[in-house]
Amino acid sequence: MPNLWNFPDLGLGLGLRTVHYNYILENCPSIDWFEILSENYMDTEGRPLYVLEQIAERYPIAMHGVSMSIGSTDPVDFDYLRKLKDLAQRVAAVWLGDHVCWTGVAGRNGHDLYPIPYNEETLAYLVERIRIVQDFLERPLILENPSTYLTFANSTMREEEFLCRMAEEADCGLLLDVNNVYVTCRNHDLDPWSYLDGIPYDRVVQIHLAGHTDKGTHCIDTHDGPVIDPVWELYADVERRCGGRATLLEWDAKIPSFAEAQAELLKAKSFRHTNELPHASRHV
Amino acid sequence: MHRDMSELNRIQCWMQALIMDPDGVQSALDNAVAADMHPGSEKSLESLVLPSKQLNSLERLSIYGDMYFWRINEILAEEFPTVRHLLGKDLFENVARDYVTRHPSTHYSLTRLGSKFPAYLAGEAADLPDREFVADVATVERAMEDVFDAQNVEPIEFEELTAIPTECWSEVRLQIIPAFRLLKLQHPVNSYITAVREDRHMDIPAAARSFVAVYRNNFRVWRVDLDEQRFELLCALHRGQSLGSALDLCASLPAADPARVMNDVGDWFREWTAEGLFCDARWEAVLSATDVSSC
Repeated sequence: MPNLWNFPDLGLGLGLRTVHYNYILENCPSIDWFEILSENYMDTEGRPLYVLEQIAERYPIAMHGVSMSIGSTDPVDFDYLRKLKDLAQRVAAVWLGDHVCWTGVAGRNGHDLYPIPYNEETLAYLVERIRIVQDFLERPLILENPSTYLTFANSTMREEEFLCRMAEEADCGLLLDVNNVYVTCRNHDLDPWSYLDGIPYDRVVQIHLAGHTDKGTHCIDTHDGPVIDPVWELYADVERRCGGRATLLEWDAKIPSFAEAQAELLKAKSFRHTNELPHASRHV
Repeated sequence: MHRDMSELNRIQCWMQALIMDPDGVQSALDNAVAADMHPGSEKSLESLVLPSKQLNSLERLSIYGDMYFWRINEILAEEFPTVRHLLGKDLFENVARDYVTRHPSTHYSLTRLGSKFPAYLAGEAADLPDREFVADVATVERAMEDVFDAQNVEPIEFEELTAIPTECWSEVRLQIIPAFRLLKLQHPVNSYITAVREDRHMDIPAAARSFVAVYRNNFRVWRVDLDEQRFELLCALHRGQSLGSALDLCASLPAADPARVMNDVGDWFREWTAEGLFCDARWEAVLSATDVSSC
């Protein structure tokens, strides 16, 4: 099933991390694409941007942010959006996205992905905000389901229903983080398979995989280890439904060698529902 | 807000106040401010946040509060590793918690978070051992963060300086690259920072003025100790003074030997251009009664 915008299935990619810069530049490893954390490159003219520009010459780059705060009741930060747009142009980003969340209010920033109540009022508000941002950026936003740790009492719909309606009404794309589906469902006593039934796959542009920390009473989305088997099983199901989607492994803490991260990523091959993986190419 | 999102706004303000309370979510719930901010008519936590099978409402909300201070601590410890070394784990955590409570982040970029940390350590932080030394260390580590991200400008070569006609030298104004900071400190902190980063023990040195340049060359950040003459010369150039007036200032310093300054200055500029410190050289036309050609 293609996505609505015919965004390409980039194959298997890794989150670009500082500790891997030298390895990538020196070895030009066989990886299909990279995803960057947008904010790490928006306010610098130092080495990160210098390295990114070299990598962007060899690999497709997707941009993924953590600070758009699309669900915040603070005004839209157009200065932030301008820098985001400039960077997207500079590295020819194939798409750019963020999370369905808020990161702060009243001018403060908590540097975390905070949940929103899933109800009609929030939905209407979010849809309006997404449209404003998409108009400014002149491209669809690809928004990710976050890992959440609490449920608001005034939520009236399940997360997947909220995401589905949000994506339809705002005409935006989805980044389906399969690990987040697992973490959120564990934290809210929900069935992840049922969650996946509610996702509009024609709007899914990208998939995330990651490890997490199981605290027993709840899970934390730490991105500090390999993907666990139940998440691989969910991923296989998503791939069956999508028929091949750009898949990205995130590893942000206790980051291993590039080769180890790559080996973890390549496990996804056995679950992919596409016969051919694209080779790394600037022109996708 | 484009719609009437007053309920969502109240929830967000309330939740943020709880998460960012330095004494924890429970304490915030108990205090009057959080109670006044409670968005519901029924003033219970459960009326806003549902429990799960495993965790009650407080425990669920506290996950965000714990992560907030954990993340702030991680970010500051990464930016200020020598300060972290000096204070130790527990004190640094307390200081980071107090700092972000007094100076909460207002920008999406994490690199801005520590911008007020040196001034905070110098003045606001309570009961800080070796306060002045710690603040000097923080000043250098913050400068390193600043130059890491500063605007990138191509430096000029030494040959471009030597190509300037001799008679124009005194009028030359050299522009220093944006990724450059000059620091006048009360302690010789530079070697201490190096020792900590190389995992070597070094006692905290006695107070003594020191001068440090922090700059970026080929996308690497460097720290170098300067003597007072070189420091003042670079300061004057940084302020936009001409080379002639900067050298006059340098040579007039009480400790300076003018003849030696004039003897060494060529080597200084050779070294500084090799380090990529200058990005432009400009000078005014020199007019004389017999020759009106410009330099």
